[in-house]
Formats: sequence, C-alpha cells, structure tokens
Amino acid sequence: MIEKPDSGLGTTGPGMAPAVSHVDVWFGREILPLEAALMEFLQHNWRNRADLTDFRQDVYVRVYQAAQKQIPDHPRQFLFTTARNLLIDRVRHEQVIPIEAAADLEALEIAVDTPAPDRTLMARDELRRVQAALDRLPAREREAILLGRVEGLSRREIALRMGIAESAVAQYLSRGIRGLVNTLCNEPPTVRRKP
Amino acid sequence: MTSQVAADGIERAASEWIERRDFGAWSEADAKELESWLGQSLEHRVAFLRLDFEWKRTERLAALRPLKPPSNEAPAGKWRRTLRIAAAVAILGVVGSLGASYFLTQNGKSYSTPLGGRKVLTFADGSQIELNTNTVIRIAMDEHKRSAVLESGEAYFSIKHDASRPFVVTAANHKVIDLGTKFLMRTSGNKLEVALVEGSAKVEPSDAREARHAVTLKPGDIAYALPGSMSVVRKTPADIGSDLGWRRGVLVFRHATLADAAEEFNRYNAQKIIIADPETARLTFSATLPTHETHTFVRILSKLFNTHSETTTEGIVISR
Repeated sequence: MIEKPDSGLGTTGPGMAPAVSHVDVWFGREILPLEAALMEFLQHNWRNRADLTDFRQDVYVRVYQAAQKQIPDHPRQFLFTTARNLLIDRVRHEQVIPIEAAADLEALEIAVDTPAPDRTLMARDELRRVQAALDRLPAREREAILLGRVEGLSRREIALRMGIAESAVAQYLSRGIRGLVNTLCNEPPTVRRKP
Repeated sequence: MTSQVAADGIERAASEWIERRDFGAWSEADAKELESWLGQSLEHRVAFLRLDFEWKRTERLAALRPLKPPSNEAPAGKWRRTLRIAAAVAILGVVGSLGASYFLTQNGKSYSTPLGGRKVLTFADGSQIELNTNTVIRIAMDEHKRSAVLESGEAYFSIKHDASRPFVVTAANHKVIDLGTKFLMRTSGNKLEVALVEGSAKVEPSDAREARHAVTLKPGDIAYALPGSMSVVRKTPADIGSDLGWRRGVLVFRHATLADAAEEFNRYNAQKIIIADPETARLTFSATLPTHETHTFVRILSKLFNTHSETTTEGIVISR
C-alpha cells in the first residue's frame, strides 16, 4: 500500500509555506468557483438561513474527503449530488418534510445541467468585482486591507500608519479577509432575497 | 456523517491564520503550528483552502494601487523644476534635429477595418497583425524600430522576435513590449486588455513614473489596464481560444450572460441587439455563432428562454 501525501498540507519539507496537495489544487480550481451556484441551491432548498454556512462546510468536507480517495470526473455534478444527499440526510434526521424542498430535489438533475455563471469566466469583471467587494467593507477594515494588500505594509506598519494597536489591526485584517472573500463568493446569502 | 462543528468559528480562525501569515512576523514555528491546525480536521482544511484560494485571487490585483500624485517634491522642488525645464529644452533640441524621422515613427502608416470587417497585415519580417471589427492601428516598421499604436478596437499580434528591434505596441496609455510572442489586444476608451497566447510580453504604463505597475505576462495571462491600475488574471487555454474565435469568424460563448453576448454581437453588426430588462440580461448560455448571424442568435434565445423579439429603429429588442 502506498501512502499518498494528500492528507497533509505540510507533509513535504520544512518550508515556510504549507505544501499544497493535488486535491487542494483540484478543490480550488473545480469546486470553489461553483460556490455561488451551490449557495443558491442550498438557499433555495432550505428555509433556515442560519444553517447555510454549516451546510456549505459539510458539503465541502464530504467532497474533499471523496476526492482524497479519487478525484471525481464531473466536479459540478458531484458537488450538487453531494449537496442534495446532505439535504436529504438532514431532512430525514430532523423528521421534517419541507414539501417545497422535496419538489426541488426532484428537479435537481435539470438544475445541474443549466449553466450557471461561473466565476472564472467573469475574468473581465474581476477588477471591478474586487473593487466593489472592497467598497462594501467597513471603513477601517478597508483601510487596513488597502494598506496591507496594495501598499504592501506589514501589520506593524499598518498600526503605525493608522495610529492604533497591532492587535486591532490584526482584527481588522482578518475580518477584512473574511468579508472580502465572502462578498467575492456571492455571500452572505442573507443579503440576497428569495423571490 | 454530518459534522456539528460551527462553521463560523472555524472561518474566523482560518482568517486569523492568513492574517498572521501575510502580515505578521511569520516563522517556521508558526508554519508548523498552522500545519498542525490544518491537520486537526477537514473542516479546518476546507475553511482555510476556501479563504486562501479566494484571498490569493485578489493578490495579483494588488496592482489596484491608486496613482500617487507626483508630489513629494518639497525639499528638492526647486531643483526638479530646473531639471524639468532643462529636459524640455533638451527634447526640443532633439526633435529639432531628428524631426523628420521622429514624426515618421510617430505617425507610421494607418490601417483600419469597418464594422464587421477583418484584415490580416503581413510584414517583411514575417510578423502578422490581424485586425478585428472596427479597429484603427498605426504601424511603423523600419530597420531600427518596430512599433504600433492601437487607437481602438482589437488586434491579434503574431510577432517574429528580433532582440535588436523589439516590437512595441502602445494603447490606452500603456506599452506592450513583445519578447517573442502571440498576443491579443483590445482597447476602447482608456481601457486595455492584453491576453498572452504564446511566448512572453511586458505590459507597462507609458508614463515612466508608473513603471512599478509593469507586469510580464506568461501564456494564459490576461492583463486589464485602466488609468492607474493593472490587474492580471489567468485563463484556461479554452477560454483564450474562445476570445480568438473571431479569427475564424465566430463568437464563442461559454456560460456568457445575454448582456455580454449582445455587446459582442453589437461590435460586429450595424443592427444592434438590446436586452430589455436586467433579469433577461443575466440569463446565461453557451454557443458558438458566426459573428454576423444576429438573427440566429435571436432565434436561439427564443428557443432557449422563450424570449420575444421586436425590431425597432433602435435595433432588435429582446424581452421575456
């Protein structure tokens, strides 16, 4: 039995940056760009918005786990089938049958084949999108991110520039990273309204 | 089994790791600590991957850098001004003595295509420049210099490399310096898009003060330049191939929105397509269609989405 080095980001060498496995690369290239479509699907089929982030995490874990054994041939199909199975499990588990959810699950096969806007294909709008995402951050987070990302300053330098403690900068930056990523992934779903 | 670990808390922790790595004093010990955190559960790993992949996508957009006004000349201000005047005088002198050839290379020879047109220019050195619809380009080639100015439109460059005579294309206040390549350039107004197909090329602002915005493109890279900003994204060969469909007389749409598709058709045809409402404009489809077959496009839309079309003096209006 050959041990595959998939399991650890840092299994190769003592470098400063964790090594990236082929599953990580596949996950980033094939699965993450589908997040907007995935969230739309989950949202459409589940009433409680509070569960969505956890659902997304569980879907990703299941997909990643499967890919460690074998990379699925059809990532999109695989992702949505996984999401559907998760919802079905959850419905059984909770002993509640939301009727409209059941109806939509039946229709899933069609939904999968309908091309949804793929984020990688919107490259033309990339700059505009990042700018828009930046604009949506609270002022201090945006300032910290701009100083760090665009001016290339370190946390300490940003603290000096903004005249605040390093720990506060760390908080603005990490919140800014989350805010930026979630906007870029078309989140938070609570902002979008269901028709 | 479905995990019950709250995703929010993990996401927060993952973002703190990224912050530490990118903005803190990162050591090997920190890297080890991160590794062990990632190894603790797949929840950790996918949360980190998600944030990190997206965050990295914004990395090359660091060139979002706003233009700094050319100030900071308080102490050396007087000197600078004197130097600038001296430089201006010197340039006048150069232009005076070399006037004729300077203006020749400035002007070169002008080529253009009409709406819906296409033209291939072949040069003595074997280089080819293919003009797409509605394009104006000025080209100057002599034994010392090869240069072009893409005034508007789109062109595909296939340039034979010559180290002694680099090929320089100017458009929208940027220079593209060929280092032996095939590339696609598109410009309108102050926007410029450069897609590198083969070889390597450098894109830099014409203004030398903005030289730090320069990027060297690899195959698959697409640079988007606006005044004061430059971003580079990567496309798959298939996507770049789609962008080159016009060379075969077709438009390739892959999950394109109707808004984008209409805009593309309108670049080639006098009869414009107008999408009536934003809802319809957001629909997406995939197809390969001849550049001039506006009507086929309209017919396909009605089949796919049950759209209606109405011909008005403005163009063909598509609605649902």
